[in-house]
Amino acid sequence: MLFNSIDFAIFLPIVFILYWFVTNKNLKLQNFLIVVASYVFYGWWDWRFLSLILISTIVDYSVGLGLSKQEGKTKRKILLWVSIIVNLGFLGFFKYYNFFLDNFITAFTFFGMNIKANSLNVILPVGISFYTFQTLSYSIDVYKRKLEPTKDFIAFSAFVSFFPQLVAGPIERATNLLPQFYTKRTFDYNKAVDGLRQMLWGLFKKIVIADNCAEFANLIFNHSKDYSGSTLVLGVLFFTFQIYCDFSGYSDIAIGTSRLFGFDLMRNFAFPYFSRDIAEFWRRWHISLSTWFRDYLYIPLGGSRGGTFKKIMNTFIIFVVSGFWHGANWTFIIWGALNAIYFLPLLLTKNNRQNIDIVAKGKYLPSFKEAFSILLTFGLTVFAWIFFRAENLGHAISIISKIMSKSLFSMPQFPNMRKALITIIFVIIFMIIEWLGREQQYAIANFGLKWKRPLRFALYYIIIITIFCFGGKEQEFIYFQF
Amino acid sequence: MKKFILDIIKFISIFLLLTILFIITIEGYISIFKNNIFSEKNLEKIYYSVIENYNWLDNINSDHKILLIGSSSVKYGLSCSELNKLSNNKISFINLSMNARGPIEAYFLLKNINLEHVTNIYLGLDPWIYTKKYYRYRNSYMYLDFNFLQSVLYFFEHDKSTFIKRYKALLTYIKPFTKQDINRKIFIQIPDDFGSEVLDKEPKNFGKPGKRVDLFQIKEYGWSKLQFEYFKKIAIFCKSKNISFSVFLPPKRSDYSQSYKKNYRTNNDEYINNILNKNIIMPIFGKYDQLDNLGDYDLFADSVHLNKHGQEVYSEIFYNMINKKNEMFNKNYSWYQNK
Repeated sequence: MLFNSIDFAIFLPIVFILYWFVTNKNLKLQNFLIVVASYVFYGWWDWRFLSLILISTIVDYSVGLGLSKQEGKTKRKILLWVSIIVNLGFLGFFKYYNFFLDNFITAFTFFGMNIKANSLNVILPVGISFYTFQTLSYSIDVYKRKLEPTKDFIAFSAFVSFFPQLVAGPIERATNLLPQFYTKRTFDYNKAVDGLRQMLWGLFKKIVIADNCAEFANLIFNHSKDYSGSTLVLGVLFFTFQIYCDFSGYSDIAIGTSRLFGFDLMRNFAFPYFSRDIAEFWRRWHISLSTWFRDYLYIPLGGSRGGTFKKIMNTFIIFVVSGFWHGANWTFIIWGALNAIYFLPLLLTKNNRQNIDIVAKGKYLPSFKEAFSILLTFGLTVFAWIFFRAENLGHAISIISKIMSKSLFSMPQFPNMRKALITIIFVIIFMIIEWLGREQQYAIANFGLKWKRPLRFALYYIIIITIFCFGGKEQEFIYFQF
Repeated sequence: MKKFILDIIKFISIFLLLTILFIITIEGYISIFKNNIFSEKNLEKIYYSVIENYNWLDNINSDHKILLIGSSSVKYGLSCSELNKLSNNKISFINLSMNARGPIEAYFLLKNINLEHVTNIYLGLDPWIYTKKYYRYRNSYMYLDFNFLQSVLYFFEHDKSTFIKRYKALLTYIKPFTKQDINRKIFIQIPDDFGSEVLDKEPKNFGKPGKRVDLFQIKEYGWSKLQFEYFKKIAIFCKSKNISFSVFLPPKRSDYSQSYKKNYRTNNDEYINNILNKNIIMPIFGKYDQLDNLGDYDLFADSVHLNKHGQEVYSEIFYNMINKKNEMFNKNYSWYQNK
């Protein structure tokens, strides 16, 4: 079920009413409702893959219980590996099987050995990369004794399948989300209203900005050979805003929906395009994934401790794995490696934590130095997106070489430029609102809060009407495919 | 909680009230101005930009051009290179068809491109293209052709954004338009197969599994009178330009054509009546089951579109037909009734 669908618009109020009016007296029943609602939400897309969520839930729940009873190091390790193998096994089979197979065949062929193997026509279950990582975090935390294993299967099932963030995150930590299922939730008016506002802003980002940008990004990337360097630059910029608004829009809707049910999810985006360096960008972009890799991969590998070589190696590992997490394609690996290259100079000169604060806090405009740093970081990020969006490496290289050609200095030309201009105006307005609201959790969190109710209602109506009138062609959320 | 629910109800009620007022006003406007909305001038505004995709036409140098128009069955069904080869490159075949393209769009395309040296135009006929049910595959401006109740039904059955598209289309109606908005600098390179394309798709069985889908839904939405009207306009336009205009029935896979014969006879008869009512005399040739005897499963990418091999085979048959070598011209449009 898509957040931007009529189905969800009907589903959400029904679950909300059942949650707060029918099951509110019994915590277990309320959690059970969340499980049922989550399974319906997921099964709406393809009920067959519910079995994967169920297996993942049962395995990690059992591993957790097993770990609570085991004190022996070896047995505990075995249990942890069961969880890792099952979860990463699902991921490996559904997401990476064909990639590895194709690359093995290519490698063997390169060395003169012709081998034949059939690739599988497998569908990638939506959200598999998200919920497998979430359940893994539980097993690892229990193994490390950071978290008490749960005996409440319903609460654990609800934690694994919690519908607002099931298919595209934020990837929650068991330490943050699971305890919220143990305690009785009480309805908080301000929290619910804030949740609705965040949902509205998320829908605006997705439908007005991302979907409109997608139309032109797809057009230009899909026919890149027909376009000049300048048009391709515009195409990459459209994609830059598409992916940000698509994914952060989804996260906003997910967080907002959770707040309606009394849950607090972790923040996933913190105005990443205003970052002053790549290290700051990665502290602000897809935070739940970056911190997941930091805590469960980078730190266990030794993090930034040790010699220079180890630092470089660990940085590359975390960025490349992060890239590979996004998809079974060399383009994602290169995208990750490129970000590692951007990041390394900061790490090696110990400047990777120099920009922790919000940029130009309390001011309307950034300083010249800050503006320059923001633009430079933005430029580097935009360049990396070329690899992320391209069909394959050849495609990415052809785009880059065209951008580097003389045609970069020609006027961009592509169909429907008037609509593109409207989209650009929307993007500019959007970025101004984001800049003004960058000290909040999301851009419009405090916007108009002190206004009188009719005026505030009018503001929300305007956003809703803009969504209806200027929304782009419906596109699936990009991160569903990861 | 009570306050929250009350606030939500207030917020939604005000919004609904405003929305209902808006709908009443807009629907009234649509019904009063429908003729103007669908005037040739306004429709041209919608479809004029299609010519942007054909800037390359001016780069084809030939004294003898033949245009192929229609929907996807023509786009993937005929190869211009193959046809050119068969004519020993004396003729330049150009494929102007596109997925779901109907006569309205085709008319404005023909009207606004350079037709110098064009001697013949062949239009592929697929009946469902002439239904209102098919509007979801067209410019959303066509949603204004539904009445309110049809829109409601369409919303539930086919497209949850029916009303949004319908009302947004009105913005296009109001918006000023000049032909200068067209970008002449894009799509100037002649495509590899002069507009034809090969469809690479995994073949699927037709109609299995699941229930049968009504291709037409005439009872619910009716025929698109506009499409028939513009079909006639194409014929008249060709006559005025001294261009020979013929229509043909692109072949379908046998399981599909058999199902069509069985299930859509009434629809087909209605469709023929609508075409004939236009009092246009034109040659018509080809039939849906034309390739049945050639082991047609190997020739189709899916039930209605030919694959690469099928495209080659059918291009030769088509070429022979237009040269009357096989005397394949039908006497009437009911291609299956004499079987």
